[in-house]
Amino acid sequence: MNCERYQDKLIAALASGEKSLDLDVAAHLRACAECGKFYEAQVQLFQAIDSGLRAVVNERMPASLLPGVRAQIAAKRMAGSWFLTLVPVAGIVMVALLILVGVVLTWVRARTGTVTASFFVHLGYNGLQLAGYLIYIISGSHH
Amino acid sequence: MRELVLIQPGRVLVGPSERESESRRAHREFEERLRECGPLAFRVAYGVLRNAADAEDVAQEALLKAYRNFRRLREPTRFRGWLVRIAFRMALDRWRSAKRREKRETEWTGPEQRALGPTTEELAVSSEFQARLEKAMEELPEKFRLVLLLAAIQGYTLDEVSGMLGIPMGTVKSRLFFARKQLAEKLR
Repeated sequence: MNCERYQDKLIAALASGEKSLDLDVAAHLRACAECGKFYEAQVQLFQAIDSGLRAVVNERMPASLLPGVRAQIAAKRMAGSWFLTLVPVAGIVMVALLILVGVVLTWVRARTGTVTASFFVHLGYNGLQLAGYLIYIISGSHH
Repeated sequence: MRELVLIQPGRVLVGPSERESESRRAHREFEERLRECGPLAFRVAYGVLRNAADAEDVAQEALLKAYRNFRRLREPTRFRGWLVRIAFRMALDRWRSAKRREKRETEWTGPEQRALGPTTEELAVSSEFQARLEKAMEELPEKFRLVLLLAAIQGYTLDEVSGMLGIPMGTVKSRLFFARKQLAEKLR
């Protein structure tokens, strides 16, 4: 029973990585051969765990990792800069289309005087405005 | 006539050239972090996956994600902590989906193939103890496992691990204690 208590203390000391043992534990180890053997086995087990863990995590980083990240970032930046160049062009095209659709459909409505033409005037206008707004949002997210 | 300009509080008006130099500066800063933290991201991922090619993929994804979020991660400690957590999470996701796939394939191929043991190559690469250790690590709770991996990486003190994860030093020590104790119990 007494040995069990000391063995728990030994495990706790090894698990917490303490360098020295409590005085009572050290005294018990000197007196009890069985606990001495148990301690040696546990020291070896924790050493094996530590070296095993180090082997797991200290693997060398492949030389291709950082160049790979850089290449992907460069590609993303390139795509982003092309997109930003196209935004003003898309804006001008959009305004021109808005004017054109407005003129054409107002002319059609004036000629025919139907509700359908009026519907298409509004649909065209609102659609273009929505497209313009989307371009504005997307270009904002690229900045 | 005086012109009135309304500026939102806390917002500074910047011209295109300033924006460009700011972007160049951010890019330079990111490059520094990349060199400093790239190996760390890889090691965390490798600690979970134990396969260099998979760990490289995960580290690359995590670093690109960090690049996209770099505006709010410019402070070095914050960057490192964020990267470690994201690399760990992504590695765990990949590991879980690989396990699921492996399970499906094993079920599909039938019991004859399931009975086969590890190949001689596998036996040569990992010793029996190492295999048991890795299995035991997989069974640890995630928060214990992450602290255990970070504490084992060369060059990082427990104080730095605490800073990286944004948790008190006492918590790091207790997680490490329970993780090591549980590992020892499983391996005894």
